[in-house]
Amino acid sequence: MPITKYSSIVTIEYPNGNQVTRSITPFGGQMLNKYSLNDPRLAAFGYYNRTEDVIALPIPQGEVGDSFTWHLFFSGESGGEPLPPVDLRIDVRANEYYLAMSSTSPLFGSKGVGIAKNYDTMYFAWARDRANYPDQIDFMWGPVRQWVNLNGVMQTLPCLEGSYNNYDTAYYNAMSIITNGYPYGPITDPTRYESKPTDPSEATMDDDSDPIEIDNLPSAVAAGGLFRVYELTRQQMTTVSNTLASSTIYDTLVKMVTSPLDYFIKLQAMPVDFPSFAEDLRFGNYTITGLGSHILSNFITDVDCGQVSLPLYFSSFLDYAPATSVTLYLPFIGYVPLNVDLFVNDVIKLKYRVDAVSGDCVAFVSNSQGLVTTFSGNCAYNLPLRANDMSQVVAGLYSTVSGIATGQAQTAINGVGDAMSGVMKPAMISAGGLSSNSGSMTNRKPYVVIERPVPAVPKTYGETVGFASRISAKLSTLKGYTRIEEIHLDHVNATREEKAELERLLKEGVIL
Amino acid sequence: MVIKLYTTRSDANAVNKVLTLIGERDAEIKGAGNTFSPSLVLRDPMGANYCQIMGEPFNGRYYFIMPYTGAAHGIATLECKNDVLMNLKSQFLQETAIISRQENEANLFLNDGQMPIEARKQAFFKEFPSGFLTDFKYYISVGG
Repeated sequence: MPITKYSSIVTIEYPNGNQVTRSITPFGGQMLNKYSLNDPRLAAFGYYNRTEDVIALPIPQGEVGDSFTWHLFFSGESGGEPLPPVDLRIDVRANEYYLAMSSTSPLFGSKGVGIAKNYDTMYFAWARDRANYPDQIDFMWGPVRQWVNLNGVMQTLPCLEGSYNNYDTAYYNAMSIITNGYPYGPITDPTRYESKPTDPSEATMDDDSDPIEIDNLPSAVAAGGLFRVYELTRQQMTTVSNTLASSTIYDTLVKMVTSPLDYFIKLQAMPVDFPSFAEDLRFGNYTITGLGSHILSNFITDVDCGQVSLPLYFSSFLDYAPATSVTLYLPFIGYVPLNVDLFVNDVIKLKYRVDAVSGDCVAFVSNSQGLVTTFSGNCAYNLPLRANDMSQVVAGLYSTVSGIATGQAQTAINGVGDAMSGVMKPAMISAGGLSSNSGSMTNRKPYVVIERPVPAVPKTYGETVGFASRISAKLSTLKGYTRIEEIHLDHVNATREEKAELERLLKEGVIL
Repeated sequence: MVIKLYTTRSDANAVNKVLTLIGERDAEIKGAGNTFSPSLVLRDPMGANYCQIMGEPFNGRYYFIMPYTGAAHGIATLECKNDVLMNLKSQFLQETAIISRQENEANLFLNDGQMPIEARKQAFFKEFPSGFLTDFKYYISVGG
C-alpha cells in the first residue's frame, strides 16, 4: 500500500495567539516497538538524528496540573484532501510533558470495522522525562492504518511499506521542540504589551504589505537584425577563425570594411545558458554555412540559485543584528552584507538576471515577502578579438569591477544600556569586488556566511539575574526571580519608610 | 513584649520565607515607636536570625535580626530590620508593576545587554542549491 510521504509546513499557534511556522521533511525509520492503543505515551518507534529538524521553540513552563493547547496547521494534502488541523493538548505532569490526544482530533477520521483504512495523519506522543530532559518534547506524525481486531478492539498502526506485519519501514514527520526553559512563543504576548500608539484617532494601524515580485524577463530582444549574438563552441570558433583567415572571404564580402573582423564587436565567455536556436553565423553578407552555431533568442536570461533558509537558532534577540550577521557571497559580485533582521526565521532567495550583450548581471535577493535588495556585477570573461583590443579589455575590467567595499562594522543598538562583549565585533567577512575576469576565477555557486555569537549563560541565570521582560503584570501572577522597573504602591498600607524599602527591594530583585 | 524567635535560611529577598520557630521570649523594645528598625533587649536569643514582634505597634511584624556578638551576663541587645517583603506581601502582590527582568516571563527578543556573550563567534556556511555553470560558454557579438 503506498505510503504518504510529504513535506509538511506546520504552523504552531501558542496559547497567547502567537504563531511560528516551520517546514518539516519526512524521513524513514525502522519500527522498534509496537504501538499500543492503551498507552497514549507511545514508545518511540523509528529513530532519527536529524539536527535540521530540531527547532528551538519555547513552550510554557507551567506547573503540575497546568494544561495548554497548541493549534497545529499543516500544509499539504493526502488523497486530494487538505490535511486537517490538530489541537495538541499538553498537560504538565510531575516529570513529563504529556502530549494528550485531543478528543476532537479529526486525525482518526471514520472508523471501519473489519476493513483496514488509511488515514491521513496521526501523531505519536513522545513524552519526555521532564526531570532529565526538561527542555524538549519530541513529536512525530505520519500516515496510519486503523482496523478493529477479532476482539472488537480498535487497532492503530503506522502505515508501512510492504506488509505491516513485518514492520519494515515507516515514514514519519518529526519535530523536536526545545523549550530552553522559556515560557512563551517568539513573539511577545499581545495581552501583556501596549505597543500601539496611544492616539487611535491618528494611527492607521495599516498592516497591509504588498508582495514585491521580481518582474518577468523582458520580451525577447534578440535574433536577427543589425546586432546578433551567437553561441559558439571552441571548435566552431576555430572554424570562424580559419574562415576569416582565408582569402576567399574577401571575394564574397561587400568591400565596405577593411577587415571582416570589423563586423565582430566582442567575444565573451560566460557560465550562463541563454535561450537560443540553431542558426549559422552571419556577418555582413557572408554566412559560414554548416557551422552549427546557435543564435540567442533573448539577450537576457535568469539564473535561479534557489533559496537558503535562515531559521531561528537561539529563538531570541541573539538571532538578530548586531549579535548575528549574515554575509552573502555572490559570484561575480563579491561578498555583500545583508540586513539579517529581514531574513532570519525566513528564507534568502537569490536569482541572477544576466545580459548577454554587456555581461552585466543583477542579483535579486528576496525573502518570503518579496524582493528586498539587488546587487550588480559583470559575469563576462572578455576575450580580445585582436591585438589592439587587449587594452580595451583591460579598460573594461576597471570599469566593470565594483568598488571594493570594506567590511561593515556592527553598530551599537540604540537604547541598549549595557554593551555585550563580543556582540559589537565587526563582521568577519569583508566585502570585495569580484566582477568580470577576476570573478571568473572564483566560486560559481553563491553561499551565505552566518556569524553567530556564543552565549555564555550560566545555568542559574534565570533564577539569579532573570531575563529581559518588559511586561506589565500583577505580581501575584509571577513566580521566581523578579525585578521591577516601576510600581505604584498607593494602595499599600505601610509607613513611608517601609514603602521606600519595599520599592528598593523590588527594583533590586526579589524571589516571588 | 512577646517576641517569637526563628531561624531561617531563606534568601533575604525571598517573599515567602521558611521559618523555624525556636522559642518565645519577653523582650524590652528600645526606641518605642520605631517599627522599621527596633532594638530588642532579651535574654538568650538562642542563635535566632529572625523574629516576629507581637503587640502594639508592631502587630506581628517580621524582622531580620542583625548579626550580634554574644550576650553580656546573658542579656543580648539585638538590632532588627523590618522584613517588608514578608510583612506587606498580601498587599503589594496585588499591585501591577512594569517588570524589567523575570525568571519565567521573558521576552527573549528584547535586547538583553546583561546576557554574557563570549568574545569568539561561530561561523556557519550555507550554500545555495544552484548557481552559475561550472564551464564557460562562448558568445560572439556581431553587427551589420
